[in-house]
Amino acid sequence: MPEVYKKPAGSGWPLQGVLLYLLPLPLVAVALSAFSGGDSARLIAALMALGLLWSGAALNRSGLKAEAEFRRRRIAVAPRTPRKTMAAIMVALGAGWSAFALAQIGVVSSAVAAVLALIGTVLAYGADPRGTKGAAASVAGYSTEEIVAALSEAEAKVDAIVDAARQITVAEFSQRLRDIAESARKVIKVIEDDPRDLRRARKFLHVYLDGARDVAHRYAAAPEEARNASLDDNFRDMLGTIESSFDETRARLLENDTLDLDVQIEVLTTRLKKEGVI
Amino acid sequence: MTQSAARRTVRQLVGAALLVVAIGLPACAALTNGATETASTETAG
Repeated sequence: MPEVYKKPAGSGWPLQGVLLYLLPLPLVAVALSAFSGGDSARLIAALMALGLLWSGAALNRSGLKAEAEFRRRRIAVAPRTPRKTMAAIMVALGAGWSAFALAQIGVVSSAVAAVLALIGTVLAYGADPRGTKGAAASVAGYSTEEIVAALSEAEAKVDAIVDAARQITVAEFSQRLRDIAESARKVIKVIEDDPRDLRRARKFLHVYLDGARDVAHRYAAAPEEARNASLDDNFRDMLGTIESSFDETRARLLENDTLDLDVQIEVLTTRLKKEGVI
Repeated sequence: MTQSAARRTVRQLVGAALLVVAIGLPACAALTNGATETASTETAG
């Protein structure tokens, strides 16, 4: 029985980071009240505070997402922009400004509010991940960055296959494409577990995945009236070829059988060429 | 819950409490300030 792909924890849309959006909400009422009272200075001050606090909140969410991705992967490079640190600074500035200009609690108390906001953000959401993890500086001639880039690109292609599957109304094809995406994820996992496979799997990453994605999108984009039994049969055959090729690839990668893998790749390449996909 | 998870939860709760104090309280104070100013302007008017 095939293993069902489970989305990794933290890859959805968790509520983490929402607090930073909620806490400044009273400032919306301050801005509205200043607007209705014709107090433009207070309105601008409130909008500035909201801008800083909500931009910080958005940056923090983006940093949390990047961190979840970094933790999920076995091999990863930390994001170049320290988004969570930048978010903490923006939140601190927003809190300080709101305390000084709107709550009018004095310079020292406002500075204390800013520092507390900075510490609070760092404690609540943690620091940005740093460095690289999971791979030596160079594996089979590839740097960690290159391995991560190749895997990310491959995952994006798999996501595109799943997108096409969602658009296809024929239940059989949609399900088979999801299964293909699942197989592809397993191959990517094998490469992630042993990045030395990257060189051997390069054709899979470029030819197979591109071909599968293009075939799926082409079928999904075909107008209803253009669909007929012949097109469906052709697509069904194509899916069969892709399915067997993907399973073969994974098996061969696990067996470290380079020769058979290349032969199998040639079979699919020929088929994709025949179909005009590549 | 492991010890490190418990420690992380405590750290996050402390962080959230600090955020409430640093952002939430001044925001509420600003709201109250605004209402007081409006009321005093209306009284003076």
